[in-house]
Amino acid sequence: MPVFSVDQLTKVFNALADHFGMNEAEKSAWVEASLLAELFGNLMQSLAYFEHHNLLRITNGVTNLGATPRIVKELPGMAILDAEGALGPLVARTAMELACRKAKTSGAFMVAVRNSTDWNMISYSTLQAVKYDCVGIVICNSRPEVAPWGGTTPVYGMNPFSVAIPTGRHFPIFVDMASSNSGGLEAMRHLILRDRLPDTIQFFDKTGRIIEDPKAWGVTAGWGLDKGAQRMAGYRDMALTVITDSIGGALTGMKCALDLGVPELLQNSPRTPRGQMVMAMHIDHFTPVGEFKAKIDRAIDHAKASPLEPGFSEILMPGEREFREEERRRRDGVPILDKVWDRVGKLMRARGVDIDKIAGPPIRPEAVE
Amino acid sequence: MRIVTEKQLRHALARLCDQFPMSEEERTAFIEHHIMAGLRGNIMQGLGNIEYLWVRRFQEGRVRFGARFMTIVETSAGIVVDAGGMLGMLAGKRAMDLAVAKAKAAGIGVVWLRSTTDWGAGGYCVIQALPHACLGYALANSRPEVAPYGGIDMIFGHGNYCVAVPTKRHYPLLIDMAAVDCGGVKGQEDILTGRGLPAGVFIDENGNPITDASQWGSIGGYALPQGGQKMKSWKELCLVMSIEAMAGAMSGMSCALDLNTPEDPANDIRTPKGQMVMAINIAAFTPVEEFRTKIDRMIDQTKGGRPAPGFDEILVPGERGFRLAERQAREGIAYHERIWERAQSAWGRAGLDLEAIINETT
Repeated sequence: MPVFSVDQLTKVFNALADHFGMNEAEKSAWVEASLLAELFGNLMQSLAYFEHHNLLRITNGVTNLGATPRIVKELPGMAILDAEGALGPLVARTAMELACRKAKTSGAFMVAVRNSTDWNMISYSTLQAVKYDCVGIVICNSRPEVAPWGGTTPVYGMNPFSVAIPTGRHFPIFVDMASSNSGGLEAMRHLILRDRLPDTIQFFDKTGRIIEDPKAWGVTAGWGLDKGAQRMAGYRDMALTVITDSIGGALTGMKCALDLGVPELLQNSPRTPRGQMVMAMHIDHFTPVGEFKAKIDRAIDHAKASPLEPGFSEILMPGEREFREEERRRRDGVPILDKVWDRVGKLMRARGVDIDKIAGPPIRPEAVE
Repeated sequence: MRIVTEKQLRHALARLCDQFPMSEEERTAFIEHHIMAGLRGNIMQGLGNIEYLWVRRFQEGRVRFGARFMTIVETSAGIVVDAGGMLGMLAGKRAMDLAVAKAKAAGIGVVWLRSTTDWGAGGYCVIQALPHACLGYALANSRPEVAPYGGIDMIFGHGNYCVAVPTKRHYPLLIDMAAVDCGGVKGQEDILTGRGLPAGVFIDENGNPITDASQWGSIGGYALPQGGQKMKSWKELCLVMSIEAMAGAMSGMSCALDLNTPEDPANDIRTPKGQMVMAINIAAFTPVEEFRTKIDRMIDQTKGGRPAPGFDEILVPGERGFRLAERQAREGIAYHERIWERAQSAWGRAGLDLEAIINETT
């Protein structure tokens, strides 16, 4: 597993962006988001999914490079942003910056995003809010891969939502998770690494039988309506999922549930009719921002001071693991799985881009745990 | 089981309200909230807790009848309001009315509430949005009863999370749940009715699991020195922290352990919890009929799938409660004997004989 410095990876991401002809705004958002995902250790939201999330979508026209999201409706507390197929991370940043700027006047502001491509790591959007001393929220729906609680066939997406909360002394709180506790990207990570799936993650094959062996994935089951589904962990997953679909899909004017099940990755195929809802709440309008941050810090202090349950070495706050990982990787380098680096290298060599040459030799051939 | 009709319950609640100096608006909110909780089977937010949550608070002066909203700060889409100790369910209803009014002009309306009492079933607050073709959303933090994931000290409340979504052909989608999957009020009901303790949820003051319901109240209980509940997963901590920030800190109230203050009615000190109530005007975002049709279609698609082993059918959020409400409106509301005893005690505390009142009507 080669380890690259942040500078090396930045060079590679910049070269990929240039190769695809991204403009400056697209390039800056895409490079920033991709690098942040690698620094946070979100394996499935950067290079490991580069082929599906970026290369295929850009080359088949699902992503409309050069498009600029435009406001098609605005009221004092909301706007509708038509992304017109613009690059996901650019839309994610644009929408939250718009929400935060408007919230500085209206206190709270919601942006409904239509016709965007996948945002990859949605906390890239919510974390923009922290810079504005806003609480940021993103709610999305996504392609059907998850069975409703009590069902066996896929109806809902993983439907991620994210919240970012400014703090004073501590790392910001940030939540970036799927509505359903069905494994989602974590399961994909295990499948790529060929780990045994944790007991908490279960899948149905297309006949409704539970499969637990990751080797069966892709043979008797897989990501796609005709292949199987992830199993929700309980009724509460259902509640969160239905709400993210209602707000992220129907309220934005896009679609819900099975109506998102269109083939996106084929040549000239339609874009998944997903939606994203972005909200910013400007703290200082409603309570002094210093007091707000002090209260959150104090809640964190209280939680972390609790005696531990057996099996735990400390109590971590939402986002803390990612921020610590970011600090470590900025210092020690970013490990990239061999198979991921090789795959991206092969794909890009076929397009005349040599990422090994651009990156130069890794700072270490193997990651040190 | 004790069965009472909706009419009998309504009559009994009205007689209870007569014992206190409530305005018509306060009476209506109190009665309608408890009818909704009773019909939908929310036992611990209805008669099961009516003595502790309400009658006692009324008598001790912890609810201030006739309180008015006082605006602290207001913008085009948001407002912070001091409820001045107003009856919780009325404060929730008024907050949603205010949020809807803002949403009609701005697209969204967010109301942060300070100085309210408990609002009982938060679902009562969010369903107020539905007649206005708005989506209703409410969050509340609460007294520390739950340990953070990985810890054993009680730091956080259950974190109330409520959403109501309008539909066309189907029941509205209605969510009224705790952020933590730790049993919450359902766990209390199970203990009271002898169904026992949910496994892996309750812990004593040293973090040891409590599995024997008879131990609850002796070595455990809903109070910091005696133990509480634990989170089952990290995701619960994510939801709880978000609610603490958005409902507690944003409203200008407190968070986490700082809610562990003794309520002192003499000095007008209440638990410094906060609530966030939001209305989203659907028509500002998308045609309302299209929205409703899409939600209906999503529900159709959900219910059209094959049930998993062990399931008869697939239910969507709120459906079980609405069905139960229809049945209980027709056949009467069923209360476990232990819950009914608690209700009798509540009416008794107010100087009333619940059985006699129930028998005054059919």
